[in-house]
Amino acid sequence: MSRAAPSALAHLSSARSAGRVWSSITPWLPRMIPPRALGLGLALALAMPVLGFPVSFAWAGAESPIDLDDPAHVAAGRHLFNTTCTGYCHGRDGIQGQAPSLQNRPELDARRLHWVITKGRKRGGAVMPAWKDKLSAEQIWQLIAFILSLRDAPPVAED
Amino acid sequence: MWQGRCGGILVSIEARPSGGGRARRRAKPLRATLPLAAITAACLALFAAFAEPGRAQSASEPSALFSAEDPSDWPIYNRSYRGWRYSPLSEINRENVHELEVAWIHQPGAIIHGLQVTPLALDGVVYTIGPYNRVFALDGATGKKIWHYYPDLDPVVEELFFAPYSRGVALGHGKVYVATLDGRGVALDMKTGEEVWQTKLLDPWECAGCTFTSPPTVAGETLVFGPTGGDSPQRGKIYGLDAETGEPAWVFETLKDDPASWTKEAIETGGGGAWMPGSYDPETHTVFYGTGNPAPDFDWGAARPGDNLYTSSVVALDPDSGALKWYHQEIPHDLWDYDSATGEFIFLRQEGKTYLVHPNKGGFVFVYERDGGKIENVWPLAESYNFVERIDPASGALVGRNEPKFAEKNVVCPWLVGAKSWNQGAYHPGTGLWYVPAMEACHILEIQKIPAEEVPLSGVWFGGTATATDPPGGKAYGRLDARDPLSGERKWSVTYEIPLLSGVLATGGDLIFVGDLHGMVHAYDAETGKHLWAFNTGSGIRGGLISYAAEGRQYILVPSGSGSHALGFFAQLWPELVDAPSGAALIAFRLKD
Repeated sequence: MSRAAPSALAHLSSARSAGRVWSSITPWLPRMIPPRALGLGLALALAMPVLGFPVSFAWAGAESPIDLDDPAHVAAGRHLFNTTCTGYCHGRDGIQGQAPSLQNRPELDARRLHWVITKGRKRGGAVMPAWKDKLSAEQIWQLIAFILSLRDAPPVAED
Repeated sequence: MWQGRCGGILVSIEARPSGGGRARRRAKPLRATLPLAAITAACLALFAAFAEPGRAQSASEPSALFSAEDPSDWPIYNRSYRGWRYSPLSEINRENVHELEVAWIHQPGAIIHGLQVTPLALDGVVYTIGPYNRVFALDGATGKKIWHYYPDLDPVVEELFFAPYSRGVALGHGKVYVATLDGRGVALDMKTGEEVWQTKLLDPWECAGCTFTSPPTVAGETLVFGPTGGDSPQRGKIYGLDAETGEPAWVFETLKDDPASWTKEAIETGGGGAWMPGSYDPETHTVFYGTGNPAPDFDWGAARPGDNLYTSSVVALDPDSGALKWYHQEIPHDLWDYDSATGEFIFLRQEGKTYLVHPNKGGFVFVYERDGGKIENVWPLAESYNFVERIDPASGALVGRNEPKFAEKNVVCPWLVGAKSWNQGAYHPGTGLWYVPAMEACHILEIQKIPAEEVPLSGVWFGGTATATDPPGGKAYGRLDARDPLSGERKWSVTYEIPLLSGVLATGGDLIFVGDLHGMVHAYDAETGKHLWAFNTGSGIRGGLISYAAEGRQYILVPSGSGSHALGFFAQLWPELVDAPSGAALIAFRLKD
């Protein structure tokens, strides 16, 4: 969900208070609906005109704060990848490990990489952790810059 | 040959003469020393000569639990305090093993990292644990669930690297003990699964994601816990709680506060811990642990000067106080990630002395005198090793250390998964052989200088990147060896394209059971290694196989479900494992009616 102006929703941050507001307005509504659902429904209903109906779920966060082609960021991403991501899961410089190879994969675009790195993923019995709160936004984008650089050629073997 | 019924179970013992012509160091088959009259008179005292009257045990904890005198039971992690993973049951034998059929299947319902448990069985009830610490008590004959316990885990568990698996639970004092992923010790009522007490021991946020991945060890009145440690920038400990009440009793620091071992800075992030179950010896009232490696695993030159005691060591602790009785550091200033935390101590008696046989991950097997820790022998299980020239069999000293160098591509053998991973072997007292899985693989190590602060919670502090590779001049592969545990003399081997990560089971029917990463469970003739039976369980086997009896029938219990971080490195050498399915199914086999 795209980020709406927070102030419009601030007083509805508690689902319970939203329920109370709702109950006072509509005493004739059946009370079977759980307050949390009411709160969420009310929040969405109020947010819709602010967001612009119909609600559009634009992908926020796919905007890179750094130049993804900058060799300095690619190098920083490579160093971070080889110290944090390799060993048990990914291979050095993105070669196949338990995870499939990240080299020569044109379908891996920034949006998809950002999603997987920030949220993690599960695949059968294996799990990749979510790195959202463990790496800074810049670090995550440097990783993306490095992995994007693997599309065409494997990195030069030095460093 | 003596045969009798013991609680309804047919038990057979063949008295095998120890015979001349064997190597001097060979362990005598224990049963040959027992007079038949004693056996006949007390059918449950199969190992009476071994279970000497020692220190008086508390009335609430009969030593029978540790001795596993009832052949129907598998009450502790390695079945009995002897650590043999040997079940005396012999209803299933070499002649009828091909008639095994599936009796029941239990699924814990979560499959992340598969099923790494060694289940327990006591009085016909199976106790097991699945991913996310789901604990179950099952009817051993039917697999029907008696009770289950799903702990309400702190969400931090989703952030941990060494999660969400557990290698088992522990039984004692009428309770089922769980070491949870979010750092608690929990005691459940054995009959109902109701929580009796819980004690918080670890805060994963505060210890770089340290957690419990193994069951605690019941040591008389004390319950001992060992957390993960070696691969994280934290200060690993071993904890003792009162087994009845959960009250904290003591803490043992696995990192020795001594300038010869650690600088003041390095000790705070030195790793260690003891992440595999310990072994409690009721005869001497001692609990033995293998500790984890120091952190960072690989040293760029000045990360952690000193011998780094007590990492990569065997420690013998007093369960009442946590005091150190003796120790031996198997790998001083470990630079290769060769933990001593392998969860396996084989107790053997020879000529009046009791020995501990203990495999280190680096592929050398240490034989200690149980009382005092004097080294009796050290022998190599691995064929390919280059981290040392050799280890002196009299002193245990590493001779010709080959230390990896910063800014070089170092070929290191064995690889960081070990020549021996944490899956246990099994000792068969009839053949006198230890059936132990071994791996032959190496890695190319590039050491990296990484400050501790840069390691995120979900990460590990290796201090290097390792790329798996074949041993020089050969191909990586695995074996199941039948070896004399004291001398290392090899009787036979079965080789595997992909090494085994399953625990081994030996039974009184002279069978050796083990699983592979394709999901096949195999049975071999314990004397000859002849392959007798196999069954496809559908997913790789990483847990420990056990045998128990329920309602007069013998069961072989196989945890199926591929998992564990080792597979990350396995997949580099055997890419077919990338797509190999995980799962979690506990499968019980018994003979056709």
